[in-house]
Amino acid sequence: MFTRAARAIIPSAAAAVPQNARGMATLQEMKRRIESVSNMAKITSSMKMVSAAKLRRAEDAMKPAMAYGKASAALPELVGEPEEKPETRLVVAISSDKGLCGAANSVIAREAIAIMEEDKAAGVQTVIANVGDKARATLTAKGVEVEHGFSEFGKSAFSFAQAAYIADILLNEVEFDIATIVHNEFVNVITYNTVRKSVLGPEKMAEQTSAALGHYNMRGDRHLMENYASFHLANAIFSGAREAAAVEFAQRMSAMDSASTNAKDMIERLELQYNRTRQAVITTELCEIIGGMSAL
Amino acid sequence: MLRLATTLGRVTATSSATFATAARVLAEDPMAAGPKDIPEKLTLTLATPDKALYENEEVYCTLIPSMVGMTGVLPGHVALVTELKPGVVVVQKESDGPKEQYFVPTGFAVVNDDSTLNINVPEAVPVADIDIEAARAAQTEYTNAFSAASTDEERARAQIGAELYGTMVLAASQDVFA
Repeated sequence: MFTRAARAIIPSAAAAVPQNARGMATLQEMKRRIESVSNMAKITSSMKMVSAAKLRRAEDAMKPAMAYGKASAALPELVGEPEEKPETRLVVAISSDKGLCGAANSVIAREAIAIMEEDKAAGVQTVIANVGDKARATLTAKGVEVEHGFSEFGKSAFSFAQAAYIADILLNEVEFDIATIVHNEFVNVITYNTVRKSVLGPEKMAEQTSAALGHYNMRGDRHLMENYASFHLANAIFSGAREAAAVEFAQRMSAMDSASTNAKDMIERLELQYNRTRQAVITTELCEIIGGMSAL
Repeated sequence: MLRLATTLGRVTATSSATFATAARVLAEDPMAAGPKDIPEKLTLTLATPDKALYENEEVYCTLIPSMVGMTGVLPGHVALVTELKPGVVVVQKESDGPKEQYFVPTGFAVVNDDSTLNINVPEAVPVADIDIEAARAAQTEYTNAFSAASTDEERARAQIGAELYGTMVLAASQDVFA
């Protein structure tokens, strides 16, 4: 009776395996399952360790990048939002190349799509560019055309040269009034925010006649503000990507942590079940022996 | 550093539209905003992508290689936006203190009304760390490349390189700002 009850709990895959009357196969099946779950737990917990180490490095790389990005954004903040409605928008969605980091990548794709839909309603033409493989996969799956995709940035921290390369290609190949950079903002190891950062296109930046900048002395050629906008695009992509990397590792760490906890729970449950089944088998055998004895 | 410089050079070269603000700025009186309280120190942020050399630190004076030549920035300096040329950024924390010198390839500097100075550069190297022989070799290489260049782009690249390394050699060989 116990044997049958225990068997019913085991998923159908295990039940489909031919079993003898004593339920030995069931025990073997369960043992195998416990082993595979504990192997998985080993993988997830080591991935957690690796992510923790990488997070520390990413956080170290993020700090100077944040100071750099903040210093670069000070002037564009004075310039302010565009005076007239932009006609074309470039969306730069920054995600990671690898998954297993919770919702960190899918929120980026979702935000990019949200911007696109807002723009569609407002009559703004949108061009989607993306950094990192994961958001591109999601966007493409949802039927969004990603015109410029950049990925495989290697194992070391995202470099300024990489950001400058991306910005250079985007500035040369896409005409835009405003660029919106979508990335995850690092709050702490558990929390992050998905943010949009606006960078005026070079021409718009130069045309903008903002009152806050009125008395600034401009030293350089007539392309000064255009050049600043180009430089700032690279800087914003750079600091955004470094921040997104820290979020990626923090999220992978917590995803792997909960996966390890889940695996541990599952192992506990399976072991309990395994022991109960084992005891039931022993009891049945004893009953059979005693029954046979008394029949003599 | 070389690749960075040429990339930024290319970014610079892509600009094309007119620049409307400059004329307007020149027509306005810089003191129109009225006299302000001038702080005693300059708040400096000198940031490279991989290291913030100064982050909101109070300093006495900074010299920056602006497009129109070396510009000294003291507290109360008029608000300013400038692109940087290859050259040396000199930071002096105290009026009688030592002068720290960093070679920068390019970048931007913004002085705000509240005597804050933001400098963003893709790279900054302490002048003492420059390998003058390597810089000289690179300068020769680019000078040769300039004479051998057949297209405008090649010529522009070679010119940027030659200017960059030429300034670097100068900065390293003579202690101009000590």
